[in-house]
Amino acid sequence: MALSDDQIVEKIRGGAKHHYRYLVERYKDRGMTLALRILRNREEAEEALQDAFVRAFRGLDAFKGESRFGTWFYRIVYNACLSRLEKKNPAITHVEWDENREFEIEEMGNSIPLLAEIEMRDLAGIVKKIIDSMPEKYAAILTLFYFQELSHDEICQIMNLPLGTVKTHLFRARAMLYKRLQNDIMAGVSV
Amino acid sequence: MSHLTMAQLLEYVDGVRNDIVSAHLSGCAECRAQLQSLIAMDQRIRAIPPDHPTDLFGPQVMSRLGVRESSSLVWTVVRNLAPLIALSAVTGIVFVVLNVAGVFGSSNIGDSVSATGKIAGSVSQAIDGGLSIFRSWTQKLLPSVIVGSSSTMVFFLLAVFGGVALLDKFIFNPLWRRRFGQSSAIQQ
Repeated sequence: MALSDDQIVEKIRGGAKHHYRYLVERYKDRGMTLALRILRNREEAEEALQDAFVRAFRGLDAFKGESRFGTWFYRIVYNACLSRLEKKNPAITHVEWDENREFEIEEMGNSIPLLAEIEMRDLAGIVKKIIDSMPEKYAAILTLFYFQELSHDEICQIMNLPLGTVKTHLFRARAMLYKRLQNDIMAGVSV
Repeated sequence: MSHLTMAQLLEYVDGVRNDIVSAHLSGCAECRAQLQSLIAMDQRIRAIPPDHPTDLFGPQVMSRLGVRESSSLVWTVVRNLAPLIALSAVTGIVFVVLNVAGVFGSSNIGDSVSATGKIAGSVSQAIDGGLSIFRSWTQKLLPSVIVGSSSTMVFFLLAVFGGVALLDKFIFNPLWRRRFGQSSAIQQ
């Protein structure tokens, strides 16, 4: 039977440091997804993720088990990515998205059922492309919600935002995603 | 009749139940269809496979941390010798089973079995010869440790093996980590 995250952490703290590879194996793909959606560059995302794993390992004593290991780790990944963005372009994290832009989405039209006809590979490409075109906070929030399947509370912890803000951002990001999906599919956008 | 807003529909998709929304949905086919579409879309987006780092990602992280897969030389030796140990065990079991079944003593099996028995006998003699040479050397070089019995020799070998394992754990391994762990971190 596979060990739980907490059991692996206990083993590492007990000296069996090589057990960390199980956590690396368990979280590398989802961590990569988050880093890639924020940084939009595979090489940089991998470097940021590596930094995050190293920081997490060295800071394991700070992990008190109050949240899930995954939540704690994604926060480290998120911060590692933001640090890289700030270093690359100090202004980029201060860019405010036009909150009112493209959110007149009360009417979704009747094209949503078309999604059922799209191949998963194509859908993945379109969704990633749309997320990559959003500001990083929306990209991060969508990734945490859809791909890491985290709750609102966990997203709050990772992004260090109040619950209300997370709910608002998430609603806007999802609405934006749906609307663009709808437009792209209707327009027959190739990925 | 005004339809539900996107915010209301998304809350419903997320499991937030509201009497007004539920009542509206029960009477509005258009909003129900919209809701079903949103649920289906959410499920499909969640099913998108994650991205993967390169194959060397895991080993690179462990290398940066200077953590070997196992810190024990004993485990490394056992792991590397595992195929040989397994092969020996299987051969031994087959040999014992055939012996117990009386195959080696039977004249019906033919010459091939007796030839196999001869080969096994010669291998056994070779091993015995090697052990006796090793024993005579150790008796000359370490007379105070080896008094001639096989059990003390086994204990002596175990002690040597344990000593090497301790050296590896507390001296060679930290040196290796300091030497290669840091350099690999710098490279990255």
